[in-house]
Amino acid sequence: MPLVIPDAFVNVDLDSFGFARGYFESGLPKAKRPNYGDKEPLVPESEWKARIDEMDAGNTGGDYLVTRIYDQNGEGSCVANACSQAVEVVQALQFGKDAVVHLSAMSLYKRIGSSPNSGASCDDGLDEICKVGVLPLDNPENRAKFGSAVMPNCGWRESYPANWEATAKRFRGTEWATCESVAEVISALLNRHPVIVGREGHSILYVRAAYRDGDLGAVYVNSWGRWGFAAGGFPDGFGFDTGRTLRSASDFAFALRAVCDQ
Amino acid sequence: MPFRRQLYYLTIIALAWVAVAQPDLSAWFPAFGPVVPVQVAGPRQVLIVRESADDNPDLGRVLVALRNGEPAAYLKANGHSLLILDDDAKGPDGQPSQTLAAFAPFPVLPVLIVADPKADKVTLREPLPKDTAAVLDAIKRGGG
Repeated sequence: MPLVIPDAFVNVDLDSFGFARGYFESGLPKAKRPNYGDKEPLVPESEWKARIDEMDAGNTGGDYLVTRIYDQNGEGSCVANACSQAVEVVQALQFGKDAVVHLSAMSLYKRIGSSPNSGASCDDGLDEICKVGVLPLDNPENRAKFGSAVMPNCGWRESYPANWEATAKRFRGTEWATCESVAEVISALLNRHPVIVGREGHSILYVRAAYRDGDLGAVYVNSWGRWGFAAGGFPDGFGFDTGRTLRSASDFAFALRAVCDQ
Repeated sequence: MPFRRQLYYLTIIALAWVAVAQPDLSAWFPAFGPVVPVQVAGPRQVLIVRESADDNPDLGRVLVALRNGEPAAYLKANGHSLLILDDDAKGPDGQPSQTLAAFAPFPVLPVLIVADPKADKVTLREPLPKDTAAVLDAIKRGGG
């Protein structure tokens, strides 16, 4: 299905939509972390166009690893939603889309936020998904597999189930890298690694590089439920950042490459 | 020297020659030609091992394609499971993945491994082909 990016969801004025956001920069010194280009060579810029055309023609963008559109439902948990979505996208690649265990963003947000609408920073979110993990979403399939070690996606006042850490550690990120340039973000997306970004007070997950009217940007999966345009086989849920927004989001983003083997 | 003793020595010399020189005797003894394993088709455990830090757009395209559309439908319809793991994947306890340990080592990456879980044996192990159709062909050659 060819990607069609409607004007309404390009570089959206986030305030005009009235949805909750919740991303802020930590303000702390940026800890030295592995950079995306440290190990893997970046994809040469001269190849980007051909690679994106190839991705469009074959429906092989990272959006085709999305199995669910998150909904933060008015809480400031966008960072936790983007991080949990990243774990699910990598699960889909590693274990298959049918085998993805849907996750509870609230089980992460309660550790990185300080109130229902405080928001959180992406580096805190990444640290927590890699060190501690995320609990499965409270739904019938996960109840059957994990018993009471599940949580809903929303609800700041929800409490953790007993012994939740033992289950959460099954859903941890294990390989990741920091992106600090457009070249690193685009290389990650062309390699099908999802990229967690925060910009304009909102965190989302970049899943695919794309051109729109000749401008290189990024398709992201949002956490606002039934919002946005169709991609990855979903009727909605996706937005588009043009080159200008992509540049502002690319100075401190995180690519997730692997999650632990369950 | 008695004939039986001569025959005995000649046999020993012939067997030693065969053991050392390993000549191709299939023209003389077709029944002793190379043994071609007979694959019993059935559900397969398919494993792709790669170093995710070495991922590239070509590999990414193949991996996403295997998770969608016809390739995914083929795997599902035939009861195959497909795991795509990092060569140093960890389990929940932070220890090396037990799945990987069962198929290690991996001198060449990325590698495609097809195993028959019923027979508990690897039916194919080769460098991962560079396009999706070739990966599916390889899985079929592995009995899948």
